[in-house]
Amino acid sequence: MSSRLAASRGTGMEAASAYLPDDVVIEILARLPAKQLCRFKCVSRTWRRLISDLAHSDRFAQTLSGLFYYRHRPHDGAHRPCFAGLRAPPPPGVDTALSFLPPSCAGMELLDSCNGLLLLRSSRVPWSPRPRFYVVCNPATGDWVTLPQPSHAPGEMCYDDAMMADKNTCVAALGFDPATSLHFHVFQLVEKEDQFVDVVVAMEIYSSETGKWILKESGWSKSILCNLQMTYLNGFLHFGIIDDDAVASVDTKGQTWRVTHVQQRRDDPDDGGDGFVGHSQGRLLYVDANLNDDSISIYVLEDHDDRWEWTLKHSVSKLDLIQPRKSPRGVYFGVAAIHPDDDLIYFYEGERLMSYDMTHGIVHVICTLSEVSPVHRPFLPYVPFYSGPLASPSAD
Amino acid sequence: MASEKKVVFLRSSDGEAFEVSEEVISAASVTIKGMIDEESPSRADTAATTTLAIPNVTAATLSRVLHYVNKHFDAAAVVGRPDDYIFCAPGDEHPLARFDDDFVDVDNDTLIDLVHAAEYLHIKKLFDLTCKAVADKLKGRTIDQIRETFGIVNDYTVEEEVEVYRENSWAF
Repeated sequence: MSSRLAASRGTGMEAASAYLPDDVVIEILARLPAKQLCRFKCVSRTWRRLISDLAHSDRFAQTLSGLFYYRHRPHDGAHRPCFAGLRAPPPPGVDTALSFLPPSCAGMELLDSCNGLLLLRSSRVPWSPRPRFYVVCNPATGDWVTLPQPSHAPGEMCYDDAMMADKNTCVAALGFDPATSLHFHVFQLVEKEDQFVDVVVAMEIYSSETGKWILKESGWSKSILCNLQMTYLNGFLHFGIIDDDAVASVDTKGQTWRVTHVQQRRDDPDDGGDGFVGHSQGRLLYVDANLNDDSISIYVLEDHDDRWEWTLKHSVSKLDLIQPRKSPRGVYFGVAAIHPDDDLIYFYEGERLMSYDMTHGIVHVICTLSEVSPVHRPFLPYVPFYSGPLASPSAD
Repeated sequence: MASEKKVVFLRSSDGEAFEVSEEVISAASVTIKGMIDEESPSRADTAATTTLAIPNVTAATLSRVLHYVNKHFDAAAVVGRPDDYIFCAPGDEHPLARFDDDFVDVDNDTLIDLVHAAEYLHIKKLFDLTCKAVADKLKGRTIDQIRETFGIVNDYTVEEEVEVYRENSWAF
């Protein structure tokens, strides 16, 4: 009987009812956020066992569970974040609608997703003197935290006359790797217009450990134009560079700045750039899906005694990806995401989201997503992170 | 004959019979669909209606379940978009969201009876809904309240209890 939720008779509960078998209890517990579950381990030995079993079951596997993306609704012009699940059932306990955020966070822009945490920025209120701000949250636990302001207000655009800013601070990214630390970092790129292009002149980096932002001038040896394809891996933020087959990287302290060139394999060197940067199985990948090429090339970054080098890992003809087969010329293949644990790349073409298995060369159409916003980085891969609260500064 | 909708009767554990469209209940309940499929060879084309015994579910619960089933599975009654639950945006409201909210806004015993019924009848949507509702009721409750609600005996020794509280102190 101890392994059951026994009926509590005679306590006002007329209960042939309050008796649930373990598998139903598990169904219920699977719908609770991890933080609640940890608390409920204190209920009884049985519950502790059920919750521990649950943590090791498939349903709690902390792997790629879906993609956040922006949906553009033509009838009202609104861009809204949505979630496309890649696994069925959807991750239990994860509030992908972000309804746990307070009303003051309504309509926030979703900027980045990194190992279970999301980075958001408050929406712009026209004519309001109140600057925009960042929020980091975990949709699996419902935890969220508002960040202090960096020295450059977030989400400013200098070509917007109403804002009178002289720098752009539209691009920001999140760095979180629970395997190394429960603390997270937020990177805010500070860009300045130079001959009609935005050059990254500085980086502001927030650490949840110190609770503070640091401002570092760019330490890159050349002008860097960020192409908005970015990912965080092994303590570095990495992003692609416009018009160049190269990746810029900076660490969380703003001390190490690197630019690594991907091999030029093209006849026309001006044809490069806009590669997709992501990571898989602990390695940084660069996916070149150039519109004018017939094939898609995937490079992997190799670390030779701290000397970083890109090598071609895989190449696939666009012909093999398009179904039904048709001329690949001019067909726009967007890279949606790279699976962090599997050898899978997600593409979208037209309205179809598909996966490509690099090991077996298999293409699988996952679903049709209509009204995906035509932004530079429409998809953010989401891996639920169920344990641990959001780290707060140790000074507190 | 062809134009008439077939109905079946479901007899609750306490003997009350409920009429429901065969098509609707078959779409909703895997268990009942199985029962109907088993019955069908012997039914022939007679006018006799089938009565199925549902021995695990009381009349009070069964009537609630059928209310839900008629709302969710009667194609003629369901309006709006399909059930694309994986694409949800904040503020989007499913046409039946309000109905669902009210449906599970009941006391613990009623809710747990519904979990049982949904599990036995194998109505996945209802099972998901009621499990989520129970989970929501559990949120924010103290350990003692959980034990009281579900009549769980605390089988930890004092030492074990101190230890398990310490291990999970971050969650409090």
